[in-house]
Amino acid sequence: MTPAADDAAPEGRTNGPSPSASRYWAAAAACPAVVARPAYRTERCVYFGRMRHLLLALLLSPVLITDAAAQPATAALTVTSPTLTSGQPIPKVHTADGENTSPALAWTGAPASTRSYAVVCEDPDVLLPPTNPQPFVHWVIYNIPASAKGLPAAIPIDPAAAMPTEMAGAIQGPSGFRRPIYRGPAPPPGKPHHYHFIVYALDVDGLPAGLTRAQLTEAMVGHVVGQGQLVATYERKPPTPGH
Amino acid sequence: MSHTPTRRDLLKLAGAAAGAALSPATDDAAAAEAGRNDAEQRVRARARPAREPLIALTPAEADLLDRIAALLVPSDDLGPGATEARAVRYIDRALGGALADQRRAYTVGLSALDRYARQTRGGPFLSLAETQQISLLIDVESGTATGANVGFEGSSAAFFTLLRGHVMQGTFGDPIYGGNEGFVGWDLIGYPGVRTTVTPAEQKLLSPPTRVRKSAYDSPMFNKAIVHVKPAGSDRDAD
Repeated sequence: MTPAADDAAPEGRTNGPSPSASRYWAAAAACPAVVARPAYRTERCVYFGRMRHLLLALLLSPVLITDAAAQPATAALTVTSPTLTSGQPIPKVHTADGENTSPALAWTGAPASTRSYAVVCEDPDVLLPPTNPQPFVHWVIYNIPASAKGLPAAIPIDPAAAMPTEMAGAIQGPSGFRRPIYRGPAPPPGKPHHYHFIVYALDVDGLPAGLTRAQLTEAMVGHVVGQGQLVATYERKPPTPGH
Repeated sequence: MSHTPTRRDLLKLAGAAAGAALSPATDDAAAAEAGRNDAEQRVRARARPAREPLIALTPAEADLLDRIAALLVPSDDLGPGATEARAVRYIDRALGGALADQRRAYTVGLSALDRYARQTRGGPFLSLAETQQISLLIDVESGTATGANVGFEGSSAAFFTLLRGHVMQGTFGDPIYGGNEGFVGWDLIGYPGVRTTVTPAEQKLLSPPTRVRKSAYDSPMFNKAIVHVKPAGSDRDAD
């Protein structure tokens, strides 16, 4: 067979395969479910012999699978709160200068593949430890049911207390204060800190108990189908002299 | 900390709610709460013997410490806790004697803790609900109360460590120091007591060792030099 000089338009051509056509065909051999296989390709399959095609598929498939763009984009969640406003100071009730109870959150925009939510609150203005700086974590809560559209305020700190019904099954993990509860802002006086309330929509549920922020991040790899955040601030005033 | 309804009920009965009578009842809910707290206070007074005369602490400080000790080592289904062990009596005697140099740390720390409660939780520590009290103690323990401008000298975590250490000493120390009343602390952790001889069977732990309910200083083997500041007019022996 005479190889064709022109390989720009493989459709309808019966000449020898161009390099791009070979890649396309090798993808079809490796992932027939992903790439539809035009009928005219079968003549080429017979012509070139199976072994050579399998070798080509094995060589090129890792590249071609990523090129195939099979993974959906992460949905953007909109995160709001009745008491928090983006970029504004957090009300004292949610901080160590008040009751220190968790704020209510609400989210929209999660895809249908969501099976649970995870929420994290962290402060990147405090980076610890020096050897591996990470934002200071104020809250880790996950296994929030997919039916939840948010979190109510003042999640109980008593480990024996049941979660509110709309978030039954949710688990709190240890924060930077080493307790599995929400502990709000308590920044050193001097400058405002930024508190990121991040909501993740995951396509898995049933994560194990006791996960730290870092462990949760690891467990979420490849399972985040939606993400959004609300960033609010808080600042403590320096001590008044002579107090 | 694990809670059960039983423990919460016990804490409500044994809890120090005296402060509720001091805080103004501004609405019906507060008045009802004060009424309940008064009833609980009467139950508490029946359930426990009257407090001994204080040496170093003020009555308000002793009330506050009573409540904190009850939260740190609570009475629950595992057994009696710091309240029954009279841990605060230990602290009071220690601050009047061997730990007199920490007296000021308590004055400053306890007043800062109560001020923190009033500023952040809306009332004196003793008037708060148990969950609020625990939440507040967590803030003191983690040091987040430090920057609240309420008067902690240094980190609030340092004061909590001091306080917790003394409550543990008062609950689990030798009774000669004023705590571990009736050996409730040693019973709680299963410590069989001080012994100067150990039989071969006990060494092999073939069976649980018999409980020796004695202070170390009941044995003539140990002599103790007691360091304390004798209050004026006291009839206590100096030994």
